[in-house]
Amino acid sequence: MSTKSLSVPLPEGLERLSRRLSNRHITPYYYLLPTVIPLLLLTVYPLLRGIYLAFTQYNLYNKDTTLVGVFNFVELTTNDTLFWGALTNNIIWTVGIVAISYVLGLFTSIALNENIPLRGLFRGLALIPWVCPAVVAALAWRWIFDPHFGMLNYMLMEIGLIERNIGWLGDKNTALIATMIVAIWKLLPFSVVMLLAGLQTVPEELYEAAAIDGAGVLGRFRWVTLPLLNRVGKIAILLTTIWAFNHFDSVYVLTGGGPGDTTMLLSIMSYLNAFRFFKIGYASAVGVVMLILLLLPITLYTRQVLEDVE
Amino acid sequence: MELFIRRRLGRYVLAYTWLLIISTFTAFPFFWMLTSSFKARAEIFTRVPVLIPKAPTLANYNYVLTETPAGRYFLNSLYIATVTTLLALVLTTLGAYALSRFQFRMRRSLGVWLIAGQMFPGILMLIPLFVTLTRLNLINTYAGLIIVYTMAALPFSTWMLKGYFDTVPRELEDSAMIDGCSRLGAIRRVFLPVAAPGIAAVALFAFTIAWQEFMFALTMMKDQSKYPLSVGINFFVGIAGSVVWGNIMAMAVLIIVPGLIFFLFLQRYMISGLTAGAVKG
Repeated sequence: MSTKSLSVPLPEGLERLSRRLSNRHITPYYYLLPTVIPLLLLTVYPLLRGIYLAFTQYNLYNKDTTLVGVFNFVELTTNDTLFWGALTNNIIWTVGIVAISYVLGLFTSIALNENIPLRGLFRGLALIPWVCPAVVAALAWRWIFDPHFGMLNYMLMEIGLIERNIGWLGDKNTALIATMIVAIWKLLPFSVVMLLAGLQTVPEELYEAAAIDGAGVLGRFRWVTLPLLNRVGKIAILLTTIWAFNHFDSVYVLTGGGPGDTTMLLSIMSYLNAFRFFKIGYASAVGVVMLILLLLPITLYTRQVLEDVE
Repeated sequence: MELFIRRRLGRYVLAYTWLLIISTFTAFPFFWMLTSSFKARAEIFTRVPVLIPKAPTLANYNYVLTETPAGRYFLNSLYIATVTTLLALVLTTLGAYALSRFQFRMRRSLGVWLIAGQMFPGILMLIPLFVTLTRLNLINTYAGLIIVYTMAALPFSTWMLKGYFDTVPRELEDSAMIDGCSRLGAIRRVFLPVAAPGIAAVALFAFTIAWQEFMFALTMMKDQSKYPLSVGINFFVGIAGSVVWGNIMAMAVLIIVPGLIFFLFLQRYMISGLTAGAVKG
């Protein structure tokens, strides 16, 4: 704008500089400052700092930031009796939750996509766990899981599935499954919403066409629904994977990693190292291992979302 | 025709059966929290669980509100979540606008960071932030927690808003600018009112993050009087023991009520927030 109002033509170089500084080029950056500066300070910096700390033996007493190479990682993978168990738990936990919440979410969204009376009510009911903070979810379920007065044991006894009360969270055989149930409960609304949104983009004509071609209910599901859910389904799976893999709250409240480390997850292991034993550097190394394992899903997810936008 | 009806009927029966099963699973804990919170001790510890209290009592709420700092926790959470929401809106609106309207260098990298930014392990962010905030004397302060929650809400809020802004036609500001508005004036007078639903969805998202968060608050808040609800209820369970279920469930109900109210009235916005970026409009 400003260049045009000048009557004397500027030399070539100055002209270019002036154009550079003019509104058109600079405005976006002014607008972006309030977003980008906090973003740099509060997400980029901590991430880089966290990765750096993983290569030190920093704790809250020595405040020693000398780099010690991969010491923590060697220690973690060779000397820590918890690490491999926690990693295995994390993988079982994540895969189980993602698979089950996806399947439940798929059936639920298909049922909700039918044009049936009371559909809104059922949709609301399927989605409410989302408003429940993970801590509250954990406490409500702890009450349901209660070994002596809990609802779950009572119901299973009535149906005849079990003969004696099970201490769901205190028993090494059931604790991990019990924490997974809570996580699935909390995550289900997400799968339902995503898959339902995906289903609603499927045109009705496709089903009709498939039906005319002789496809039954299963055939239409296999050849129309599933392929069209491919994209949304992929995103839902990637997001739930990342969410489950990073999860901390409900397991910390339900079991704190016990009994006998059977529900120890990487995030809890890292938390305990950092804030109970104050081994900041070591705890960061656990975080970095998590980050490395998540790089693939994060990359795939980011690429998918960007692809859709452009 | 008859075949068609039979098939349709079969589908209905299947759908209803499944929805009944799944909504029992999702809704039962809410029902159980609610009824347990109105039960006296005698109806909590029964061999056969009591579904609906025969002698409903407000004793649990009375106890929780007068004998524990639950009211204080509630106000703490409300304050922290409200400031976080306002801050998130102020910080993201212009940035999201720029992302939606302008071409500039690093646009793509910024997009990548906004999407990936909140996928990183929370624990890996918590540790360095804890160290830094300790150095800045911001541990155990509302300000510290608000900063952290704003951080948590920022990337996705910006991305969500950008997505919504993309659906608002450019011509809107263009015509206002032809009529003599500056760009900022056009944004304020013409653009923002139209983009309000998107802003509401983001506000809801940021508020929910701050209201529900646990791990950061657990680590950062030392004074009991500064606990938000999530940490407060966990602390209460820790000292009272996980046996006073009536009291605990009354506190739980206090935490979920604001969320439930939002949910009843603003379900649509919540859903659009959840699916932002995942489903093309």
